[in-house]
Amino acid sequence: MEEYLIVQVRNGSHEALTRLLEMNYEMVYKYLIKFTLSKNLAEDLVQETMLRTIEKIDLYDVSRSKFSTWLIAIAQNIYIDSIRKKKREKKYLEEDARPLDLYESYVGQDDSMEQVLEALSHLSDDIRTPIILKHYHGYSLEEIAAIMSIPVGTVKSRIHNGIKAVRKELE
Amino acid sequence: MNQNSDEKIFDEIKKSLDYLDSKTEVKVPHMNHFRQLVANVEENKQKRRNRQFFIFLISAAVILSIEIFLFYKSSTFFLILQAVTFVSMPVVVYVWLKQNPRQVKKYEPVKN
Repeated sequence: MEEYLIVQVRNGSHEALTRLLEMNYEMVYKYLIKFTLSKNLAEDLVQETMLRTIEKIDLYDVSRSKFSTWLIAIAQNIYIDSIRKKKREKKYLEEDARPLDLYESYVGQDDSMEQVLEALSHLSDDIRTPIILKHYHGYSLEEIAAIMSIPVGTVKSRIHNGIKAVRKELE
Repeated sequence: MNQNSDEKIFDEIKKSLDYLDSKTEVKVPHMNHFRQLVANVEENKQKRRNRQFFIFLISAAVILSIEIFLFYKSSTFFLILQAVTFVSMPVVVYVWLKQNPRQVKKYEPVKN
């Protein structure tokens, strides 16, 4: 179905593009919520991802990657850009203190999972992101450094400090 | 010892994110929301193309006016400007076409 829709999109079909976005919305949302741990932020970033995908659809090369892979790459770039923008706007410290805004959905369901999620939410975005990229998605340190545009050494130290903070909170 | 403890933390993180994934209920917007998004973006793209084309026409008219003026005033400058225009116009058109490859067509039903 997806291959058929992509062919239609390349032929200029507005409706096929609409269908492709609708089919991949959930996947992108779930990808982003693991990084943001915030429903509101994940929704905003998904919306931005959809808009950028529509803008850049002519640049999608079906021979290079699957459509979902390309979409995830766009979502990732938008998320990384949002972290940089937050730092520049100096809201970094305020956002560090934000409560996990999806926490109430899971209260009473699994204490140990909630504790870990809460510990992760207390990390800043630029520390939590490399941890998730490495230990959940399996990226190498070099790949993470390229994605986040930071040196490999910085990736290592952020992961180290992040894990240390999570361990301390779980003890 | 520390490595074992780190491995345990990594495992906990992975499990908690899998848990988050399984428990997250996603409210996918209605198809009309996506249709509206696509329509809005395509409309903005078309407006941008129209603006660029208008600027192109104005530039062409200005260059033509200068050429007409130079034709009567100085044949050397006229020829130089002709040569520059002859080379630069195709390049400009090529760059513009690269940035605006094609327009997504309006709503059409997709066969299942």
